[in-house]
Amino acid sequence: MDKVETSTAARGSNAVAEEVFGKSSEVSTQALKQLLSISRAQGVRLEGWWTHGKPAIEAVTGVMHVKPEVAGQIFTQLLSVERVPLKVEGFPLGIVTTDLIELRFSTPGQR
Amino acid sequence: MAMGPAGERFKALQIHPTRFCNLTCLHCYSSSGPEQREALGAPLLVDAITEAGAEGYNDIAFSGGEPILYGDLRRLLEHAKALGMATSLTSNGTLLKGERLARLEGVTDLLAISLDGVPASHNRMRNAPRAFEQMRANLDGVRNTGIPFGFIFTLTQRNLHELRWVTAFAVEQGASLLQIHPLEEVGRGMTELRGQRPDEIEASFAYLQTIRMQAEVGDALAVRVDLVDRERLREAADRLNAGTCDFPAENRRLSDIINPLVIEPDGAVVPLQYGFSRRCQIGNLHRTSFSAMAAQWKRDVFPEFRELCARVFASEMGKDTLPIFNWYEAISNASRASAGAAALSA
Repeated sequence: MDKVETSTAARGSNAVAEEVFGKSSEVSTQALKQLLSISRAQGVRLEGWWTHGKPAIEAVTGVMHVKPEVAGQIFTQLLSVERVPLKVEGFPLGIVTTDLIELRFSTPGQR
Repeated sequence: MAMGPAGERFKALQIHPTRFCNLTCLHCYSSSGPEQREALGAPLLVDAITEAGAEGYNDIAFSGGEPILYGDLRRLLEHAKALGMATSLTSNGTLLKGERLARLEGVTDLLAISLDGVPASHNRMRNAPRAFEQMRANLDGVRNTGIPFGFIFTLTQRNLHELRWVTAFAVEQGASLLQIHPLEEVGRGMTELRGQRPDEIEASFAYLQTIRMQAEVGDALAVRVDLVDRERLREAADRLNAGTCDFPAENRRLSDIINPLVIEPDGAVVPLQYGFSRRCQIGNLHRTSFSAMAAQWKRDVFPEFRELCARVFASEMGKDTLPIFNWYEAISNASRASAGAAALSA
């Protein structure tokens, strides 16, 4: 059986970006930082990290510390906006507020 | 205050009872396979589980090797349940049928099955052309047992786009959990998948995609990723043994300091993850009882472990890279580098 190809192959995220943002879009490191900053500002918290490599038993026993699906709805909306990376370029890091998000990330026709 | 990187309710003891496995997966961090016979005796592990319970561990997670090939698995699961612990195990899924599956009934709280992408990708990673087909054929039986089950997806540099398919498959199959675990270049992964470890861009995208997938499936499936936002950690130094808390380790339960704790097939008991430097190990079950090694470690080794945690924490917090990273990989790598440096200077 062939080995999995090495790093010369395309990133998995390229296909995701293409799906979300369109073929001509590239997601810069700066844009990623800003999206992550926005997720923080929106209260998105993923705590699965601490399960690390073992099944997250708390996830199926009803003691989740967060409900990412709630915040995730907001985030999905952001990600669904056409060419988001172009819109977030230039956002100052760390000072993203809800007002700014609403201003910058309203979907076409909503502003 | 809950200490250690893990959660507050579940204090995990991850046990690798054997390196014996029917597959030779390319990413296997323990380099397990059909030729590997290293295994721990059940009496040793029964005692370790009992004594770990006294140190506050209440979540026993079996991995491997392929844990269902461990002959005394049922005995260990029964013992953990008798102590009131939660139990889980991770399997490649290809052998989950018949008597082997039946042995899990009534004593398993969560069954995690490996799923590494679309069938062709999964088979490549599993190094077996029919691995997906065999695993999928067993899912009806798994569902019939009523044991809650989930899938664990190994994230590489190039497979994030398959997460959507994996998520849909997990929902379709009635899974409760989808856990995304980033590949680390250790064990067989170091030689077979060099260059495939997800870099910071892929990790960040994976974090965002996890949020997206969770939003799409809602309550149908819990989606987890073993990555953390650095900015979320800044205020959590104590949780990582990197803060200023000076409450004597001797007066704390081991589970309040180290979570998860790992037992490897050679008997080594190490902090946080498989392959952690032996320099910081709690001890070895072949030489010392769990209780004795825990007491000695708190007294003699914890200061060095804490210094390591503080150093890695400061290093990570000082970075200006993308903030999503794998804390466990960072500290495990640092532990091995530190041990190597100490050996060189000795």
